[in-house]
Amino acid sequence: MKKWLAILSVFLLASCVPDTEKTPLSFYFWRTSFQLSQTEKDYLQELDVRKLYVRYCDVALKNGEAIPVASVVFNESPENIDIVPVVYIKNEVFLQNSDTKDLAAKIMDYIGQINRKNNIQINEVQFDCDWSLKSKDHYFQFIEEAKKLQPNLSATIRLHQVKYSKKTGVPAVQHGVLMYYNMGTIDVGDQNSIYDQNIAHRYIQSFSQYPLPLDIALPIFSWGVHIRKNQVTNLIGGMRLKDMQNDHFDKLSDHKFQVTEDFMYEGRYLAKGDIIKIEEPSAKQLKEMVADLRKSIKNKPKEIILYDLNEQNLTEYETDVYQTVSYW
Amino acid sequence: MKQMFIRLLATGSTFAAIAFGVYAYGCASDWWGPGYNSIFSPEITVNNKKYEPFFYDDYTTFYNGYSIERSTELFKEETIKEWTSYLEQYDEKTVAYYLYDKELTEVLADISQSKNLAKEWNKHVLSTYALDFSKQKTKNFAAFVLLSRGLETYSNQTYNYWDYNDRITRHADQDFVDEKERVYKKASKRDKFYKNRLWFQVLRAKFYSEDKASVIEFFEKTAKDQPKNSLYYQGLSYVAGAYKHSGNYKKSNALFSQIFDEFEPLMPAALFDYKPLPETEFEESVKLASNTSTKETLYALQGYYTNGFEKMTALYEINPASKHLDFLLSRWVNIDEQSINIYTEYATLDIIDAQKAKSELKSKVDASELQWINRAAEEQKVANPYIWKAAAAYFNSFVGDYQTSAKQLGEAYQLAKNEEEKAQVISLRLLNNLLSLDKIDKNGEEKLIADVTWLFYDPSNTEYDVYTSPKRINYLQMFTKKYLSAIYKGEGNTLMAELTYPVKGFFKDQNRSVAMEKLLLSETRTAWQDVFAGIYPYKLADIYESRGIYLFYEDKIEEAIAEFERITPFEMREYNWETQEYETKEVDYKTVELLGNPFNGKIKDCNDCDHKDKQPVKYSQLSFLKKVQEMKEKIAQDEDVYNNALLVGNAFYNTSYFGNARRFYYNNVIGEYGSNYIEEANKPALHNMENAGKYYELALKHVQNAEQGAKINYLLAKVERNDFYAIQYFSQPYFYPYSDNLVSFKAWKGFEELKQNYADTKYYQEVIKECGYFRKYVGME
Repeated sequence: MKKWLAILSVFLLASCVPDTEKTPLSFYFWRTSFQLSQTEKDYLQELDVRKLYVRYCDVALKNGEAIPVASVVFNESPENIDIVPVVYIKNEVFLQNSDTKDLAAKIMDYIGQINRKNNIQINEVQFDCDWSLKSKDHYFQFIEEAKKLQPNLSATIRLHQVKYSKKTGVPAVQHGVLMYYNMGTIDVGDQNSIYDQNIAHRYIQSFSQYPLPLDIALPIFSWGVHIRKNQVTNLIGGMRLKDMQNDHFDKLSDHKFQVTEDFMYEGRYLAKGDIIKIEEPSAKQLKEMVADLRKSIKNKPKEIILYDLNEQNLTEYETDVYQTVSYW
Repeated sequence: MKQMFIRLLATGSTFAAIAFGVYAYGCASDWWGPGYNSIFSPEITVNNKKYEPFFYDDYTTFYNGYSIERSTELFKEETIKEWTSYLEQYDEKTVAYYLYDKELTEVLADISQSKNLAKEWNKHVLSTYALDFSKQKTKNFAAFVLLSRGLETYSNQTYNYWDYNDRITRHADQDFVDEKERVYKKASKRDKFYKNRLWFQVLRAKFYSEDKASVIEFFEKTAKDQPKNSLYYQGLSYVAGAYKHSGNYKKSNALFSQIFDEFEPLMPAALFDYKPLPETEFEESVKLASNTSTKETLYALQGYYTNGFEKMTALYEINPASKHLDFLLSRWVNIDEQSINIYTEYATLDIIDAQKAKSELKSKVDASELQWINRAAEEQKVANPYIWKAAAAYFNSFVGDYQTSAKQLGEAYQLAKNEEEKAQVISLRLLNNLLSLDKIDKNGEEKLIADVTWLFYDPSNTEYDVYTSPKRINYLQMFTKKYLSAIYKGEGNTLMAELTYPVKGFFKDQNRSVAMEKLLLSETRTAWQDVFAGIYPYKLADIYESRGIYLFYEDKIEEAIAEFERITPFEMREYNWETQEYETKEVDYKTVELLGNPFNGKIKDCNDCDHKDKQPVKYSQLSFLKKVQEMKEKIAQDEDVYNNALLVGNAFYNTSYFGNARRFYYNNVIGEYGSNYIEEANKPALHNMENAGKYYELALKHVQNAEQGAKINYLLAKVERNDFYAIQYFSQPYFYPYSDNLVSFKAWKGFEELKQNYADTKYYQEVIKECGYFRKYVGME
């Protein structure tokens, strides 16, 4: 598999370390029905979380028409917490010659419908789109149109969009959120596709040059890469190292486990001999990310957003980890 | 599996979008189509079209990308036919218009509100499709159309994706369901067709209502009065779907299995909806099966998703004659051979040691599984013994039990029902015999020759369309050649190793080249050698030409001419893409013309311009060489040395990578056909400027005036530049010529000479006019 990442030598930035102070912590909420468990509520309170970025819907193409997909349903009203709707727009939407004005109006109206139905007040909207050179013009045009309807916009920014910002352009939003994950390829090798410091370092130098103020999104999610006969067959969301501590798995290395007998794991068939590669950022890695980012980012972020809010993810890390990542 | 994975990411966690993109890219580049390293054809061995979507595909969920058709589409034709025959007085076009024409929806919505339906109806619809309401059947049809096309308030609105509330309450209203049920109950029992249609409408409405589960009860109460037609099985799918929706997978699986077993058109849909369960739950689901045949099917579907081998053996114990066994067996073979067979790379001999290759094959087979397959193949209990014998034989070859394999293949051949099944046996037999040999002697050749001849020469193997043929012989062709080559190599027989599987570089060794020439010329070749000489990709003409080219670059012109003169025309078989047929044509390398004048030496290197220029004399490689020889002889006799050396220098310049006569070095053996990328092995010869430089220097010694001096110095600057490019840039494996810090020229020695000593020549002025680099050098730009 060809790596899409270019290789550059790494220069460590010499910088003075400012006094740290607490940066607000928030979360992405990425499930399709909004309902928080008691544990989740406890954590939000404990960590003093005031804001949630809730994915309202995806926008994808159906028969050439952009439509909302997998929209969120609120089974309970969010209380004492600000909501920022996030809309993930698939790149395909902007690859075609789209009426960006119409789309912006539709999306904003749709967000309004959801807000009214659930009695939610918002003052920011975030767009998530992995735009490419070919879709850039339409996406940016769309942002302009959306801005007329909601001036306070933010957008997710991927690592390569920071590094190659001259080519990929910078969306004209109030601020961006740097997604500090999904760094590598999902493959059978030992590389971690969620976070790899070596890969991160290839990008880190470009952060200080980026013209948009950036907040930071950090990964607390995990998955298992399901490998059969040396080929990736599947991704199993949420799988963690602790799920490997039983008779179904033999440890091969720190992150690789072999299935000892045929069995069904949450509806999926795992065969004897299959290999599971667990990719999850460790507590140490989270701290390492923050240490690296502190040295390289131009402005102190206004917020750290963790992806994503989920009991399993939350309980994986000790409280001190959350404290460390929120002190800058 | 991979497709399902992609779908999962596409609709699921969208933050994984980057990863998804990269993964999809990886998949795409790995795409070879089913069977790129397979010998075992499921189409031929299973020999049952019904099961085709469920054969193993390493890329898509269903074999060859089958997708599940929506049932409306799937049964459209049938529905139209049945209604037409029921109504008796209308043609299919009319029926299709009422059932499916999209524009009718609004029209019918208007009509449905009117008091006198029959009266209004024909006023609104297209006049060609007017209905005769005097007949009860027509009245029934009209009522059905209104009911089934969903013209009630609920679904009369067009669905708006951007309406959030619409999205979350999109169920059939209870009123709507009740209305359908009322019409169904009211309909006369005697009109079975009509009643049956209405019955299905009720099932459908219930399935799409808030109370999905109500479809179960309704079906159980009423199904016994219905014929077991396609509506029945579609209805049963709704029932299974309702169970699945409620989380009762044991029951839903049992029902989907029944549908898979009993109703062919819905087989793919039923298999797709089947949810594999943990072992204990699966066993409980078996108890829920309504009959033995469904029970057997449960094993097949569970095996499709989970441990195919285990479920195949269990199914065999229950009913060794089960119709579902064959496709499970084909999957077992196809899945296993993906990892057993050696992936063969193009143009490399990756099988180094035949013995080692064999032991690797053996180590990858599960012995106990094979033991079981052998037993089943022997027991004579299966319905299609052919596939069992063939599969067992195939794997016995892998583990080295060649005798058993031979015996089973003999039996399979007897059982073969058609030519394709026989051909499958022949290819497996060839593999078996091939692996059974450790050395290739007379006996070995005899054992293989008929099947090898068949493999490479039988029209069914050479003229078939790789993309549509179910035959899987590509891998076997490649493997046979490589395996034989490896054995010959092991025996130190480099000549036969090359003849069976040619590798790059063989002809660089003059002795080998001569040996191959001898063999190809020999009239006493053995029949075995003939087989491979016939498919050997290089003709004698290629070999002579390649030698001539190599000799030319060594400035051995006379010897080069001698090689070129040995080239004779030969026949070549080529596929004509326009007529889509193979054609045989005569090829004569000696008549191929160079595109430009190879003696040009211009200021600007513009090959296209040289090719377009009027050329009174067109040169072939041979006539070009003869001309060069003539000039060299003149140089030797001290005759007009300046001009002759200049022209020979130009000849070497143009026949290099940088010149206008690249066609000179296009050759099959050398492996250059006109790409801008020169193979690593050829770079030293084709980027070389030594000969050109040598003759320009000679010319320089014989210049008679300043104009000549200016010209030669400039040409030497070009030589120096090319050397610099070759060393600095082209020697890199991947050179990208558009980088910002590319050095396109330097202060070449020739430039300096020109500037210092020849500034007053006419040639100097021409260079200023044409060469931007020089202008830059002298500071004019």
